Amino acid sequence: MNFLTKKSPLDRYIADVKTYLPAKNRADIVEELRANLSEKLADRSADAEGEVSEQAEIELLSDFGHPLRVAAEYQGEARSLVGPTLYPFYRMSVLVSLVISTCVLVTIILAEIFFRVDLGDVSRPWIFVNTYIYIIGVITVGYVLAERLMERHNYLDSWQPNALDQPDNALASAWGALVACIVAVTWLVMLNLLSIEHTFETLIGQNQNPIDTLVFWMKIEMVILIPQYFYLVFNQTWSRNRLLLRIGSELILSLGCVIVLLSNAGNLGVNYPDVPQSLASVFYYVLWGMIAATVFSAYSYWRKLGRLGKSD
Amino acid sequence: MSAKLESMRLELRRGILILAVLNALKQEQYGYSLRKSLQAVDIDIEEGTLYPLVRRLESYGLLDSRWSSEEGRKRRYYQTSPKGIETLQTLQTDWQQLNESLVKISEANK
Repeated sequence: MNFLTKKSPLDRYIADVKTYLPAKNRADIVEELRANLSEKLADRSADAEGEVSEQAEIELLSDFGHPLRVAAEYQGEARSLVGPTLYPFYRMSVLVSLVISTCVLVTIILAEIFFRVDLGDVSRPWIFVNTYIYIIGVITVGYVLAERLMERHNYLDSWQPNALDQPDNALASAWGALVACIVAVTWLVMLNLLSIEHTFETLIGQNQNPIDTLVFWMKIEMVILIPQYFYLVFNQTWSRNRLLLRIGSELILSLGCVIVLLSNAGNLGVNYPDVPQSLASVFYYVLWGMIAATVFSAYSYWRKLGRLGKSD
Repeated sequence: MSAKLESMRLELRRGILILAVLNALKQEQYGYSLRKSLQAVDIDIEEGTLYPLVRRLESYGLLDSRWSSEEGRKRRYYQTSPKGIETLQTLQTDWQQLNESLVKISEANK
């Protein structure tokens, strides 16, 4: 060992803390830290009536704490990416999205194995990794932005208990709307992963692929829904116009399903020849199910609209 | 349980530490002497927590600071600023009110 270059425990400690410190005021903090520690060492030296041993220096630094912890204290009120207020919803959104995407990916891979659907030159493990990274990234950015916006508008400080809507007319909560907003954005991002032609022919089902037409209508619905959810985060009161817009967005998807049924639903087998006919026919039931669900949803909002009219 | 108890004690101390520091620094002191003066009145706080806190209070404008070389040593001295004194008075009033409330609760549940 080269004794000329050997640093004392204090020097090494200071150097270590320095690497973790924020760039701002780093040199100043380090100088002060060294001064305070040296002062304490000198104090101990006076008590011991002589030179402080290396062991004593090590003990002093052990008492002071791990360099990482000390540096963290100097970070001040640095915040995490998603704060504790929204963290439970963030975690739930990530979990729900990961479960849904895992189901979708597993279904796609099973379809490839059993029905020889061509996925192209794609690495199977990387489909999962890429999708998870993508989803977590999108959700995180969504929550970070939502949280910043809430802070900027002092959302949590500016609420009035008497301004809360009647339970009958309100969406579950602002949090529910926020989760719905994040899920809708994630779903839109996932839909965008499918490359479809955004043409009028696709929209009215004059193309060959019914999935493309359905995805196009779903995208339109999401684009209309997301601002509604976003608005509901800040104002949970239903108005007549907003209820009409909500009904409209449900009916849009319903219309899309009807167009697919009437035009190109039968082409599913042409586009995916390896999918058995029995499975392709399930597609019709899926479309009918979606129509039923969206019409029922529109009807429930219509009833809400009626109640709103009476109370007004 | 002891770890949890220690964590609760630390949390409780952190709350009043700002009050203690602003009070102690009415008279100019450097980091290590501040630590000793707090220890002298039984406020034993880790230096790894105290020094960053002092820095933070300075960044809020509650403390003034200057470097000085005395006895061959370089030291950074801190003193409570006029804004710090004002804040201290507000915090002290709050603290007294809280203390009175705690006494009332404690007496009511004897």
